[in-house]
Amino acid sequence: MSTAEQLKELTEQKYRYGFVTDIEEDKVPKGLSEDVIRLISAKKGEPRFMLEWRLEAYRRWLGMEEPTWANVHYPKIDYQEIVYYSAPKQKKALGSMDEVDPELKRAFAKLGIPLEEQMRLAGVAVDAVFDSVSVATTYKKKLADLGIVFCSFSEAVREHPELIEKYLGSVVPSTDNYFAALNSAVFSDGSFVYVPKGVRCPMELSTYFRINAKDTGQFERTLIVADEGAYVSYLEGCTAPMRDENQLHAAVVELVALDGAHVKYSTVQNWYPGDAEGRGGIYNFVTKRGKAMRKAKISWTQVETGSAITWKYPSCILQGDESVGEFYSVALTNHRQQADTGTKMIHIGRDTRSTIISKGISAGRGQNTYRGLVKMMKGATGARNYSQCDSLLIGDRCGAHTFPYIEVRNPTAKVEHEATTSKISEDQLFYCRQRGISDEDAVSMIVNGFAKQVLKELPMEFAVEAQKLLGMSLEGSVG
Amino acid sequence: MTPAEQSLAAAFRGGAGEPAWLADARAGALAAFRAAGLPTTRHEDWRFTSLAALSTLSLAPAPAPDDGEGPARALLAGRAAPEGARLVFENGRFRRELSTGAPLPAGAVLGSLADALRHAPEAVRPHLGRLARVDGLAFTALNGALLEDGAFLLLPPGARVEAPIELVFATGAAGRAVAVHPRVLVVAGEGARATLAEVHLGTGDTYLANSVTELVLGEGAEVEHLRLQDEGPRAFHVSAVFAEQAARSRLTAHGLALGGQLARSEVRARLAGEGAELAVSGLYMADGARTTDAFTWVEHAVPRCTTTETYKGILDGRARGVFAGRIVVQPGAQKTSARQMNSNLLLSDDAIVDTKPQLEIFADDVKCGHGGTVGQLDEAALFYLRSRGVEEAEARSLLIWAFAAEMVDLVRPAGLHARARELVAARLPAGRKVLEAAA
Repeated sequence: MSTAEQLKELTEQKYRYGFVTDIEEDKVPKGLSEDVIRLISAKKGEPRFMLEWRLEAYRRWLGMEEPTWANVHYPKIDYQEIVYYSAPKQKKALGSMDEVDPELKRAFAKLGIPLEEQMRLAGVAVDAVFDSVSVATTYKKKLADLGIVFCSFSEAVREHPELIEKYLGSVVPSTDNYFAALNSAVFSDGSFVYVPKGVRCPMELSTYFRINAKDTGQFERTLIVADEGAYVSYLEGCTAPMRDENQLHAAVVELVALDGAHVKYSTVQNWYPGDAEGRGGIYNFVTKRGKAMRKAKISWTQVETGSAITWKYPSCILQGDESVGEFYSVALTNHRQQADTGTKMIHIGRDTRSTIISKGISAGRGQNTYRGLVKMMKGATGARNYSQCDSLLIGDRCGAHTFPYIEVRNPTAKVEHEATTSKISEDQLFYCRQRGISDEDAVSMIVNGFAKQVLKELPMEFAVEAQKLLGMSLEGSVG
Repeated sequence: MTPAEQSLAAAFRGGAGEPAWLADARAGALAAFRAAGLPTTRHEDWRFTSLAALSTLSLAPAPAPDDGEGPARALLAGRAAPEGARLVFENGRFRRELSTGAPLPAGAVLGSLADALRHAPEAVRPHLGRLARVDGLAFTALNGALLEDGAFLLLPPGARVEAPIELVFATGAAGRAVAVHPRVLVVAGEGARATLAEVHLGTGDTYLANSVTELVLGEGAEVEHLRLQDEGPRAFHVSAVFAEQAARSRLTAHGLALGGQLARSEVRARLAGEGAELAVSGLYMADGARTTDAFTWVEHAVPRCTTTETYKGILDGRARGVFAGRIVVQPGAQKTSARQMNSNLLLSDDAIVDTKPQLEIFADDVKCGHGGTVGQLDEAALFYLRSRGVEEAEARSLLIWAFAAEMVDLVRPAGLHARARELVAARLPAGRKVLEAAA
C-alpha cells in the first residue's frame, strides 16, 4: 500500500468511542434566563450565596461579547438552543457501586473504564461524572481518613460551603471571560478536592467526564485546593459519543496551591472531533488556571487529541516567591479539527520559574495554534522562563501556528522562547523501513518520540492511553 | 474623531490637476483612513504601542519650502559627503540644491517622485500604491491620501548601481506640529542591483513623519534597503516598507531605530517568486519614556524561498520596546526555510519589553523556527570585566556594544557604517571609549 493510501486510510479512521447511552434524564427546558439559573440552583439544593454568585455571573455575561481573537472558525452558537441542565434520574443518593444504574456502568465498560476494576487494580479513586451529576464516588473513605475531601462539586457545596465560598472564583473570577462567566452562571457539577496541610494524597485522583444527553452543553466546574505543603495529582480524561450537532463544553478548572503545595493536573482529552468533513464534534472552550503561593508548584500536562475546536490555555499565576509553573502539552489535530491552545505564565513573585513545553501535531486539514503568554511583572525579580514549542506537520493541507507573547517588566527576569516546525523526514522513515519496521509503526514511533518530553510527565495510567491515542490517529500518515 | 484624525483628514486637497487615477487613489485612501481611524491599543497590531499622545495633537501640513529656512541644512551640517547620490527631502519635499547627483546606468531613473508624477506619470502608475495597500492600515492610507513627494528609483533590467543611494528625510518646523508623508518607490528590473539608505532626521520639535516605501524586485534583482532613524526626542516616526520579490531576487531590509518619542517601523514583504531570499533585521534602542516598535509581516507565497529575520532591542530608563514579527507560509509554499529571532536587553528596572514572534504555517515540507529572549546584562561577564580593572560604565558599555555590534555592522556602506557606529556608541555610557577600543 502506498504511503498516500495509508495516510488516507489512517487519517480517516472513525471515532472509536461513538455510542449513545439511553438513560432517563432529568432536564430543564432549553435556553438561558435567570429563571433557568434559579431552577438549576434549586434542583441542586444550593445555598443562597451560590445562587447570587450564579446570577451575578449571568448578568455580567449578558454584557460580554463572545471572543473572536482565537485562530478558530465555527458557526455562531445559539445559546438559547442549549439545554443547560440534565442529570441522570436517580431516586436517592447512592451508597455503593451496586446502586449505580447498570446502563451507566455498561457505558463506562464500553469506554474501557471498568469502574470496579480500575478501583481495585489501579488504586485510583474514580469520581465519574456522567453528564452533569456525579453518580459514583469511590475510595472516599480512604481519603477521608487523611482528611482529604474528594467529592462532586454539588456535594461540596452542601457539605463544605465554607471552603467553596472561600475559594470558588478566587483564581478564575466569575467575570473572567465570556465562557468562564457562562460556566459560572450555569455550571451543573464537577469535582472538588481539598487536601489538608502537609498531606500527600496517596493516589492519583481521577474523574472521567462524559458528555451524553443530546444538545446538553456540559459546564463542569473543578476546584482543587492544596493546603500548605500538600501534594495532589489529579487526572482528567474524556471521551464522548458521536453526535451530529456541535456540543458546547465550557468548563472551568481552578487550582489553588498554598505555600509549599504541589498540584499536578493531567488531562487526556479525546472528545468527538467531528467527522472527516468537520461536521459535528465538540467545542471545547475551557478556562483552566492555577494560583501558586510561596514555594508552591503547579504543573499542567495535557494531551489534546479530540474536539472539533479546542480553545484552552491552562495557566499559572505565580504569585508567591519561588513558586513554579509548568505546562506540558501535546495537541493533535486531524481532519478539520482546530486547536488554539497554550498557556499563560504570570510571574508576580520573586524568583518564580516556569517551563513551557508544547508539541503540536497537525494532520489532514487540521489547524494547530500555540498561543502563550509569559508575563514578568514588576516584582518578579530573578524570575525565569523557558518555552519550547515544536510543531510536526503531516500532509500538505494542515497548518501549524505559533503565537507567543512575551511581556517583561523586570530587567532581572530571563525569558527564552524557541519554536521549530518540521515534518517526519523521509530519512527517518527510510531508516525504520530498512530495519523492517512498518510505516505505521515507524510513524507512531516518531510521533511518540516527538511527544515524549510531554508524555513522560503523565502518570503511568495516562501515559499508556495517551500513547495509544496518538498512535491510533496517526499511524502511517506519511506526508 | 480625535484632534489628530480631524487635522490629518482636513489636510486633504483632493487631486486637482493630477491624473484621474492618482486622484481616485487619493480619494480611496482617504476613505480607508476615515474608516480605519488611528489605531488604538485595542488593535492587535498596536496592542503595546499607544498613540494616545499623538491623537491629541493638531497636525498641520508641512510649510511650503519658500517659507524660509527649513531644518535640512542644519541637520546635514558636518556630515561627510555621500558615497553616491544623495537626495534630500525637507519636510517631505525634494530639495534639489541640497542634493548630490551621481552617474546612473543607462535607462535608470532616480529623482523626486513629485517630478516623476508630473513629467512621467505612466512610469509610476503601474507600481505606486500597488504594494502599499490602504485597507485597514491607517498610516499607509494617510500617506496614500496626502503624499506629495519622495523618491523614485527605476532600474531597468540588468542595471547595477554600486554606490549606495542616500535618501535624507529632514523634518520639523519650529512652533507648529507638522505632519509629512513621504513616499519612496523603487522598481528594480530583472537582475538589477542597488543599495538604498533612508536616513530619517528631525528637529527637536513635535511632528509626525509618516513614510511609506514600496520595493518591487524583479527576477534575480538584488536590493539592499537600509533605514537609519535618528529623529528628535519629540518626533512621532511611523514608517512602513512594502516589498514584493520575484523569483531568485534578494532583499536585505535592515534598520536602526534610535530616535523619536514614538517610533514604529514596519516591514511587510511578500516572497512571490521561487528562490527569493529575504534578510530582514533591525536594532532598536530607547531610553527615557520613549516607545520603539518593530513590526514585520513576511509572507511566503511560493515554494523554495528563504527568510532570515533578526531583531535586537536595547531598552533603558522607562522606555518600551515592542517587537511583533509574523512569518506566514501559505499552502503550497513547500521547501520554505524561515528563521526568526528577537533578543532584548533590559538595562533598567522600569524598561519594558513586549515581544511576539509568530509563525503561521500552512505547508508541511518546511523548516521554520523562531526564538525570543529577554534578559539583562550578564552579571558574570560584568564581574569578569570589573575584576580586570575595567570601570563599571565602560564594562557595561562593552557588553552592550557586543550585543549591538552585529546589527551595526549590517549597515555595510562605509560612510553610513561609520555614522551608525557613532550613533549607537553615543547612546552608551562610555561609548567613546568603546569605539576607541574597537577601532
